[in-house]
Amino acid sequence: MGPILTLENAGYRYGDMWALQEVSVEVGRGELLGVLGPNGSGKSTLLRLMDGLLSPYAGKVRFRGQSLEDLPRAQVARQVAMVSQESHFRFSFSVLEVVLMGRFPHMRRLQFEGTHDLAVARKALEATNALDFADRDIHAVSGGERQRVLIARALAQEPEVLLLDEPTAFLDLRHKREIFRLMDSLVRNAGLGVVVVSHDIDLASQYCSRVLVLQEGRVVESGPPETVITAETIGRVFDCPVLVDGHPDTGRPRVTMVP
Amino acid sequence: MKKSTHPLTARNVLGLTLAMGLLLGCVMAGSLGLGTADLSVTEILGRLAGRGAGEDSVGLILFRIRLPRILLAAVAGFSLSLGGVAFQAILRNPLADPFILGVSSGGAFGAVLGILMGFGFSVGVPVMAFGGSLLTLGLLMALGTRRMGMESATVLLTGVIINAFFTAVIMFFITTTTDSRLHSMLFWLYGDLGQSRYSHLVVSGPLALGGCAVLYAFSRHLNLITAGEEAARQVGVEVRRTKLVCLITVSLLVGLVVSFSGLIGFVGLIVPHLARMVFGADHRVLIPTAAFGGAAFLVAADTLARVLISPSELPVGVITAFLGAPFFIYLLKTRGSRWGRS
Repeated sequence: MGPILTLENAGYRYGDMWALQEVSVEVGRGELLGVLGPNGSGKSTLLRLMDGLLSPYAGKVRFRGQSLEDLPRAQVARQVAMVSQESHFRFSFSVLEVVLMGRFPHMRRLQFEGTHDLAVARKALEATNALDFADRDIHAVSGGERQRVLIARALAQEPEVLLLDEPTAFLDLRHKREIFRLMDSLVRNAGLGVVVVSHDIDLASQYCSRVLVLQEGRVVESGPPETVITAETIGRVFDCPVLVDGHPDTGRPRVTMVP
Repeated sequence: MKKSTHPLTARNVLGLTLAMGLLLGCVMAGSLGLGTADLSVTEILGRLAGRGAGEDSVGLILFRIRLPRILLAAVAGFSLSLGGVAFQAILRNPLADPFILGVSSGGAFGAVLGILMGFGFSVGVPVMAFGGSLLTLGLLMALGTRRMGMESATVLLTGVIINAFFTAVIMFFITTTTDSRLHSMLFWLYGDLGQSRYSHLVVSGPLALGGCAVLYAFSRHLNLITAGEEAARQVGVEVRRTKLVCLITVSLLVGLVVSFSGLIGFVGLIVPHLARMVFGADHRVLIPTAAFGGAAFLVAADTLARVLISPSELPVGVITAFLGAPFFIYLLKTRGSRWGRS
């Protein structure tokens, strides 16, 4: 299958500071792409370009050949969904209401959510294992639950590509694993293309089919985890000495910090 | 414990809107019967049914004094409450309100300027008031917009300053001119619904309803904007267009209300908050219920203003500020905890 989301030499700057330069990436269906890199290396900017939230100053971002910046937001939202790091609900909505908001791009202006929308929302809540607290207030759920709700909302958009910005930040071990397993099943069973920005190099190594390493706004390495996640690359990019060996179960690269 | 009920349907919205409309009707009927002149129920009912001589004192009180005033109170409360709903959603701050943000005093400034320039009350002055509101809004946006959207603390603070400035300018104009058309200072500073004319109502009434319809068309957009502008864009909302349409609509309504009734504060703060507590935060139900609720609230407040120290009367803004200021403090104190439905 060919790529659906492509960046061609894309660049973005804030003021005259380039946050990303000459980035070329392709995301295909059934692919879990991990984006690694130190803080400030342009990871979040990359996701914003991929969702068309920012328009590139250089190069192009295309979805199935169409430039994202020329498309209406609702059309983009039917194809690409994003889960950001922060999302603050100022007023009280129930978990189900939040997930139903993901149906926005599929609905006409004065339409109310119908049985189909409700079914999609329930399926999304089921996929993220969040159906049990669908009636709770969004402010009354824990960090891990909230992250699952936001992923469910993104799934309710029925996108082809799902972008996640550090979905495992602030989560404990079990919840981190759950999120990665969920992404894995979305890729395998639903055929989604998933891009995940993460500081969990080990988890990314275990689950991603491909990883991309960013440093100062440029792609320095890209390929399967086995070839990209090496002591040399990680040590250099993160400016921190590390040891890399094989995971006892899977053989995928495993990173250990040098004390 | 798991509810499989649908969260919101068109029928819910229609039912709750009709209920609030009914409440408004009852409050208006009650208000019509209360006042300095003691009119009996049979007299009023008879007159409403069209019996009796046209221009006796009962008819005069009912149709020339009380009814236009009640209708203006309803239109003003309706519009100001909508203003509160829209500002609170777009600024993502429950403390926003046309009065606090200075949009009302900007409108009053425009209106006073219009009067001094000799414009008429039916078109020129309201247009100037709209211009004043729009100018304030432009200032707020220019000073409060950050890269990630509007920063609500900055916008609120800017609004407070703009409010103080325009109030001072209005005071200056009023005290330095002898123009009789700037009849009373209180009218502009505390709001007064006693100057109502049917000729104003035929303009402001339909515009208020139209503005409500426009905002309603963006109700799901507003739901999403309350979770952040970028978050809303992710789900497919054209945020810039939504904000532009909603804010211009609201400044038109607020400017119009101000030019006919002066500065009435806190309606847009209290009513949307109460509506959110009772009906939830979904704008599809919040917009119509807060609008009718605001109308009922202001009619009730103005009735109090008419009868509390009868035969004299208070400016209605005194009543709303008396109720609103403590309410504002209460909101400020509970800030940081959750808003809306518990």
